[in-house]
Amino acid sequence: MIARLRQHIRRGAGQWLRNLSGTASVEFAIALPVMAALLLGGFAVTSMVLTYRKLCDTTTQLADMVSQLGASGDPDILEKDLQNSMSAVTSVMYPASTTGLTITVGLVDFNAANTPIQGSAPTAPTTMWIYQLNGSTLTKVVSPAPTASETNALSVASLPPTSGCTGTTVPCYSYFWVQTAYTFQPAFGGQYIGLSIPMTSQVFIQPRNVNVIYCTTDGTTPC
Amino acid sequence: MTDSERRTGGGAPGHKRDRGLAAARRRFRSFLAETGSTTVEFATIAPLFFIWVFVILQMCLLLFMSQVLQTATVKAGRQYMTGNATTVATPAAFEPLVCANLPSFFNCTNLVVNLQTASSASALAANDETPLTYQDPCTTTAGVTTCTPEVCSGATCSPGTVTASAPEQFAILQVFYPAPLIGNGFGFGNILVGTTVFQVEPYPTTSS
Repeated sequence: MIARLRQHIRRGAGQWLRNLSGTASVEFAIALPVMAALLLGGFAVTSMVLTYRKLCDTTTQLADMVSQLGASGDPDILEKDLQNSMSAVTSVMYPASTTGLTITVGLVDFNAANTPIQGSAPTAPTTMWIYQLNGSTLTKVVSPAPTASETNALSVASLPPTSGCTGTTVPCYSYFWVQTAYTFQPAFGGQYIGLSIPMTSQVFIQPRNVNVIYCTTDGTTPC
Repeated sequence: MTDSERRTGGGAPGHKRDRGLAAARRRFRSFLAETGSTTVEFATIAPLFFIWVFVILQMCLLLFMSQVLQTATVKAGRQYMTGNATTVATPAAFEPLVCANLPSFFNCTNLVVNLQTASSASALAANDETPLTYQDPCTTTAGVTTCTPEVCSGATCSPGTVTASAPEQFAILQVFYPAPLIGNGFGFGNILVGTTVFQVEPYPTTSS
């Protein structure tokens, strides 16, 4: 009885394997997941490239704007002006959501020896400051910050120092540091797999109107 | 029963009932025939396959157009920013700035240019908080469709006016374009947006 059943199954399996009807449909069914992955993956990668391009545009356009802050004879910039420039430039990200977008602007000062001045002289407004905009909230932060190798690489540029600028703690010239960070979530992968891809962009740019920028909260009080 | 009899359904040839039975058997055999099955299966799958490939190509085109529009917007904004476009004061004059940097398959009459200008970053930030809107530049009256590129100045969109470029002015330039996709007719319309934010250069305004 069992032997006959086995023979029956073997014969049936053989017939099933030899049967060529529906081949195209089966092949299409096998290829479908690959094609679906191709479509969704292609869409996700291209969207990511587009978003990254918008992020880079946001960074360079903000850098262009903050570099015009400060005027000859009035090197002070207001904390509020900084915030306004940062929030105005967020519209570049559209139609990508600005949720998850963080904008950071800092200032790196250099002394007469082209050495970056960082984190010294607490009472002086010459200390490098960093502000971060997250949503609509502006906060003064310590990190993120440009790395020592990045700031040291800038000092090689050796720009003409301010007239009469001497010493190691007096700023002679400065660079704005603009960084944007964004968490990209693909339409499909972000919703069903929880996939998120962090991306950052940064630019260093020199103030165009003055050599050194001083940040103040109200025109006189250092940031 | 001979083979011939089996094929014809048996019985004496010419019998009405037997001829009907033979015809039914022939029809049944034609269902079992596998000749041309691949063609039939391909015909079944082909529409779905070609739709799929078409969707992929449409996605590529859409995203390519997004990139191109963003580039054209930044370039047009740069002309305004550097004072190269100080005479721009009408929509008709502004639209070519964007259009000049777009490939020929863009229909420039469908562009919507939105320029918001402000004297300070704070005013610009305030304007920026107003909802970004797209206004269809085409109107149909008495069966005739007319497309007019719109330019808005400030938070209120007032077609036909634009503030000429002025030194140290802050600006947000947005360019909208309705992508002409096949899926538009099925409710999958897509408005592409290019945006640039800048402060106009402090170029000299008086000639000596």
